[in-house]
Amino acid sequence: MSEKVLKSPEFSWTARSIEYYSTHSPHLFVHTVDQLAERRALNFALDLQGVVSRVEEKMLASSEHGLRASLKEEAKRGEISLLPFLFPSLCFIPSSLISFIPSNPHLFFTVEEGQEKERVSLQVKLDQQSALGRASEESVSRLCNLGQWNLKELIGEHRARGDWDQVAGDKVLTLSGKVTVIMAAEKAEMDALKKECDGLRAQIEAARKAVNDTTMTAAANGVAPLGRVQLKLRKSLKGHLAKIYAMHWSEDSRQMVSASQDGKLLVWDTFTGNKLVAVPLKSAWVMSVAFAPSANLVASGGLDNICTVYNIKAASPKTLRELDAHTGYLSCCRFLSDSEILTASGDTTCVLWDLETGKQKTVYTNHIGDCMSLALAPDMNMFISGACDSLAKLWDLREGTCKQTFSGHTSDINAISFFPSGNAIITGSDDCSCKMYDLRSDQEVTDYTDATLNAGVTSLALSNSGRLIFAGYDDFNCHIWDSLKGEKVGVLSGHDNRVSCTGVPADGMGVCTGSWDSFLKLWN
Amino acid sequence: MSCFRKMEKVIVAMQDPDMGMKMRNQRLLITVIPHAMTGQDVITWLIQKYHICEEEALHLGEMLVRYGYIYPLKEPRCLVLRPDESPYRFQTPYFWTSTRWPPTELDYAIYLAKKNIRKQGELMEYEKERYSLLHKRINHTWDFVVMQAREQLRASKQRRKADRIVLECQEQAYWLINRPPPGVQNMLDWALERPNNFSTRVPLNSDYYKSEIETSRRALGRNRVKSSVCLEGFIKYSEQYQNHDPIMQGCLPSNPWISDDIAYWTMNSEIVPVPTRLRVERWSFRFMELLSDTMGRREFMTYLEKEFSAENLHFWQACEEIRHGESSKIVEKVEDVYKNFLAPGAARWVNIDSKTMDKTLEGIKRPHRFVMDDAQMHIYFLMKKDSYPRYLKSDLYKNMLAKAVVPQETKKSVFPFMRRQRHSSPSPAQASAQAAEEDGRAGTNSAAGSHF
Repeated sequence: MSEKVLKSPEFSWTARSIEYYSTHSPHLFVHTVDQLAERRALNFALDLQGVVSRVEEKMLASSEHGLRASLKEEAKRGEISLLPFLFPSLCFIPSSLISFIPSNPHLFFTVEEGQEKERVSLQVKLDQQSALGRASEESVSRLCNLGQWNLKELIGEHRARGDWDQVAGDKVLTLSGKVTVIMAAEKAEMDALKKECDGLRAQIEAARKAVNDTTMTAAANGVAPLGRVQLKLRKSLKGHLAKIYAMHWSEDSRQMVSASQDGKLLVWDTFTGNKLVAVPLKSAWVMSVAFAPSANLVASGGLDNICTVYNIKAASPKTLRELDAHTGYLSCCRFLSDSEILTASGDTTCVLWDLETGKQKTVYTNHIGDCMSLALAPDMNMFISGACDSLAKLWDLREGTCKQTFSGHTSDINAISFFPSGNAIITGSDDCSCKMYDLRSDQEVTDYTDATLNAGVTSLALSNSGRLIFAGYDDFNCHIWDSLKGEKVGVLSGHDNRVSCTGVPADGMGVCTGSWDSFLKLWN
Repeated sequence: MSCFRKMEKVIVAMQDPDMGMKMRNQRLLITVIPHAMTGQDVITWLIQKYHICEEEALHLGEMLVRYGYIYPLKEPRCLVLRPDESPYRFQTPYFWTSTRWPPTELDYAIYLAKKNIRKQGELMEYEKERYSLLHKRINHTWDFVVMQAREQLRASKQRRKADRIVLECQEQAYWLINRPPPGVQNMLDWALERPNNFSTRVPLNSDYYKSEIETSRRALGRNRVKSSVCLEGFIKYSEQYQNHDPIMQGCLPSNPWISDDIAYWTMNSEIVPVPTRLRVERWSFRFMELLSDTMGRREFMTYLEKEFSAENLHFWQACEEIRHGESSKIVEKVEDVYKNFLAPGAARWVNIDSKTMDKTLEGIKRPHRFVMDDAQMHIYFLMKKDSYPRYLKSDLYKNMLAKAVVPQETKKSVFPFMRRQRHSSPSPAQASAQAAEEDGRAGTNSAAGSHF
């Protein structure tokens, strides 16, 4: 998303408090303190990405009528959302609005006080719908004293992260703001490159279309439909004290490891329900866990950015290695063997580590969003990753290059898995759909969506034949899809909170779901 | 959250004057408060309206209670839906989670202050602690808090007793959910905030586009296969493996999760005297299936030894060990492989084409994990195209298949009074007709899993 530099008409009033901000009909209502205590509306035009493209100022009379009143009506009818909030008085005169980006919530103004020009920012909190929710008491911060500078000299990147430390307060989401002010010439070069890139992508799409001679629906016409699939709850594993974030089966299909925010990893014997090993974690903010094929090691990681590998065969679980090189949270990890492990991180990279030395062997960079999930191909020559940039990428393990990119999702991809034959991948996303991409014909083949499902997919797993997809959603259920027919064929409902992880063991006996309600349930 | 909207739809439907629930009156000593209902009413209504079984209705009803849309009148702290005469009431939309979220510290402070003022000692231990914490934290607005609390109490005194009781209950229920007592799980807990600001992480500048162009060029050059061929492949795969998928077809002798009998695992462990038929069948599906099964590999090795080409499999295994083994041993292993398989006059010399051999010998000078990849691939395909098909046609394989055991399904009767024997390895994918019938008859018996 690009940030744009705007010029706005001079404001010659002092903004006293911001009354309302509405996202749908983008107005910022400001109280002014001239004699009249007027209400002014800054009319923003937001483009498709929600970035301000135009600013106009509209003055409202000091009476109750006008734009604000009509907006209030619309809000009552539920057509737009108006969020009122009180804002401390701004005692500066904004001379021009530099930029406002709803997703990276800073309002930048230049301010003139006598000879000095300062750049001031208002830091505000955004709620889930990216509408201004609340502003903190001390969110006005003076970024830098420009002295005699003007805007031109600001060109470049300014990491605002350090500055925000001055602004503390419970209500403020401290995002690292980076204002990129781009010069025209540089922009021209970038536009040319971007054009070439788009051209290549169009060629790839054309090549894909050329081999697309049938659809999955047509091909699966002769396949008998499944009817309703009902799996029963067979076991409920109780033992965690907080939300379960991840689980992974061992290759013996009997042991399983689960991670919870109570700061523990538990290794279960799912048959007897006994807890075999409890590994206390240094950091309770765990997001992923993995079992080594040999069953000697487990790994976990999360907001601490570190992937810790434990030896669980020792008398008491011992930390074997701490793999610390990521600059973002660890979202997923998978062992290739007792000597190698793959990790995916919120710093947009995936890394292959050598466990003996604890060093990175290969770093896979290409994603532009946090990597959320990864899966190894059955032949272990490739792996796939899904990220917050809504792309799934296929990587060559050995060479470290991205072999192919699959687009189609419109939101973060949270879960990804291989079809058991290794020729297709299934992805689950926050856009409430799952998709199947074929690796050989290099394109999307099925879209698993249902109009009644408007919750994001958090996890998925496939049955051994690949026919059934178990997808965990934010609406507390795990829905079952027929992978060939693209139909929803069942549901596992029994959790009282979000299903955060699903897994089918190697022998395909059933499916395990783990949830924020702290239980693991086994079904078949 | 989307589920809230769904729950609200259910609640609104429940309160529909025509098709909704039957309301009763709650008797509190001398006061009669209307608009109450029993737990049993709720369950019955859910079952009727959505055509679900009792277990699902219980679960759904319990979610409605846990998320604050219905609250119990008798034991307000116990957020459970009892399917009996216990009274419940609908929460007013003002206090719905979706309308008043998140609850502010200020509101909570006012609520606790009210409780404190109304009756000394009414605050519970944890509430007292929170109250004093809040007092410290928002001390600057404390006058406002106390003033508000007093005002609200005064206003409520002017209401009718019934209304007052109802409002108190509603507020209490709201706060029990939004500020749960210690030890009770907070149902409204959100996730770890995922900082989704990728525009600030990877700068979309010229360098980025240059590397994107490179990646796209590479991706453009990929080999693409016709969709029809690929999709046919998936369908065939699914069909072929359907019998081997316990969720689709059940498994014999029984699914250990259901029958609590580990016979299946014992029969299918890595090394057994007689493998099962399904397992031996799988060896014929794909070459990798044969190689990845320890017994399969052993059988194949026996066959190759008869054909005097066992060195191929030994070579392949040695290469696998280099690929997946310890880094420190790589140099040593590569040496061994060279000595035993590649050197001229080696004891187990493998037949690789000259080009691959040259490349490998060159690579051995600087050994790394993947140095044997090309040679390994060559031998793999050699075995796959030549020895593997012949093995499948051989007597060795056919005898194995004939000898292979097909386990009997263990009969398991869960309840002595059920006339029909339950399957211990049911096939959920085809069980719908069966299950519906059983559920209708047996009520909730079917889904009582074992709890630990």
